[in-house]
Amino acid sequence: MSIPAQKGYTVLVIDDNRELLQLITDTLTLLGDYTVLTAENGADGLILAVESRPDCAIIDVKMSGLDGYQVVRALRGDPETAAMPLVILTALSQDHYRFAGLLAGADRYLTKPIKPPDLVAAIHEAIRTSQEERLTRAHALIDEPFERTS
Amino acid sequence: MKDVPFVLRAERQIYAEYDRDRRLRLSKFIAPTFATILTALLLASLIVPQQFHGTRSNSGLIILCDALFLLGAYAAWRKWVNIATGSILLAALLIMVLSVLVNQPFILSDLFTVPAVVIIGLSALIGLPWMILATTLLTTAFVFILSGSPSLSHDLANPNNVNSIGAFIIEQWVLAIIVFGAATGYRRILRQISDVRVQYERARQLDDLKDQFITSVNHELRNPVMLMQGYVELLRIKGGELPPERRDEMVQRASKAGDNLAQLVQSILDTRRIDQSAADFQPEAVPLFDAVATAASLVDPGEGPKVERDLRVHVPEGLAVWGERVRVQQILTNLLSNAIKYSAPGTAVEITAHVAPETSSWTERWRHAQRTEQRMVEIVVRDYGLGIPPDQAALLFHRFVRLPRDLASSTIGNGLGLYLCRELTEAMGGRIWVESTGVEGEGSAFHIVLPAPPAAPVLAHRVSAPLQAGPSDQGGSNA
Repeated sequence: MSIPAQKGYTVLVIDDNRELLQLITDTLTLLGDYTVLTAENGADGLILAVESRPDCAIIDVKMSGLDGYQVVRALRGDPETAAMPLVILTALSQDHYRFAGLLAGADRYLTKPIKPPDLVAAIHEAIRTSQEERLTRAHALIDEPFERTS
Repeated sequence: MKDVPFVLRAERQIYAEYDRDRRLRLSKFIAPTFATILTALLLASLIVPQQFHGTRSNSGLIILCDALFLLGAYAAWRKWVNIATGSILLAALLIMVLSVLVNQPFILSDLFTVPAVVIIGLSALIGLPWMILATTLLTTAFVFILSGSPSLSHDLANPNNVNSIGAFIIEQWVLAIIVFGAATGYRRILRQISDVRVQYERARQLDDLKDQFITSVNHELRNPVMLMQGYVELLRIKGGELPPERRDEMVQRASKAGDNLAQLVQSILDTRRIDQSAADFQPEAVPLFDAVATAASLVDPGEGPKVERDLRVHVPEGLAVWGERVRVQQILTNLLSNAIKYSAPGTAVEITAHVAPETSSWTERWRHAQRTEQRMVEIVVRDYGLGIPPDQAALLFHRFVRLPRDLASSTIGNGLGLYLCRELTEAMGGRIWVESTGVEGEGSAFHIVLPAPPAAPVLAHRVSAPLQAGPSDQGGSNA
């Protein structure tokens, strides 16, 4: 875990791939002027999220120990972090994974590879999303008929 | 129909299952039916003895037949197919004897033609082809024995009746040969139907593996692509504002991601190359200790924290295998890489090798003698890691297969390493398998058996060497 100096929004990135953590850190600091916190596994990420209350968390899905869905559910289940904007960033591109991620409580489900400007825009949008909008989206998702494509 | 070119042991089982199932179903019907009839006959002989005089006088034999049918029914229920069919056929033979004894004094007639025909037919229905011939032999013997019976002396005085004994035997054997031919033909058709089933199963498995491969490769490709694309994009947008050393660092990261991508693609392409030229190699004597040392040096320590590991090598001096040096090294590198990747940092990895002992069973010795008198060398690569669930062990040597546990984890792999090991080992005339309890900490032992070059000297030699290694992402193998 690393905690750089504060500036602008604080974003927590949880991913077990160090090179990707570095890329996302570079992306967010260069393009978004964000402060970036990083964690290499779900458990560390969860602790850091609760302790640091970042403005947004970017979470990978496939990680040893706690996976991304579990981290999202845990954060949404804790009243202290329930309103935190959460973005899933994963290589799992099939619709059923996407659906599972959004149902777990993520605001956005992004698939790798994503270009740096698109990532920054998605995080910006997630941070701007209000709690009411988040709930409305979740209800709409549950009401929509879901077709499994893969 | 074109035959399936080779059949695996599991697939061969499908053929056997078809026939076994058919025989069991028939046995389950025949045995209880006859047992009920005989029981009813015994009860009837107790209630109205006058009408069933013959039955009463032979009640011992009838009870024996009944017991055999009951045994057949029980064996069929327990799926002991050979005991079930054997009991039924034996009981049927006894009924034939009984049918003669009950009708004392008997005359030569169609008396035992019908039972004999029934028994031969029955053996064709529920037995194996050889059982048809065995049953016919027994019925023929019975006819011969019967011809010596005193009650036939009058009948046998008639030359026509003597001829009819010969006719019975000829009838039985003609019937047996026809039924044998039909049964053999039926089994051939059954085998051809099974071929379709085998091909279907293979196609289905291949389909599953393709899905798994696409999911796995899809995941593995996306990370390096994102790294490459991300740094190139950052450099495009912000490159002009960054100091030169920062730009160089980003270029290096993008370049490394490109290398990883190329390596992944290469390992996928390697499997095609192996498929195409598996048997095309020049064998030579490959000293094992040197191969192990080279393989250990080729294992990529990876990007993770450096961890001291004990690599225990116990390879007799001068021991060599008959194969291709590069292939032997590649197998050992893949197995060592797996051992490191799937075991806790700091745990030991062991490599042992010895001349494989002679096979103990005489059937295996005979089979080996049919193939070759080549001596074999066994190499074992053991780790003390996660282990492999025994029910999933056999699947690991197929292309693109990864354990569900590893698919869910962050351990990198594409399911090709062990497939390559198997292909390379088999191409050199060897075989590979894994032994593991699946218990974490007990690890797994990969065994490779390769041919030994002629007259390999064996002297004890033990070396223990530390191996600097971290979690490896090299080799694309999985365990």
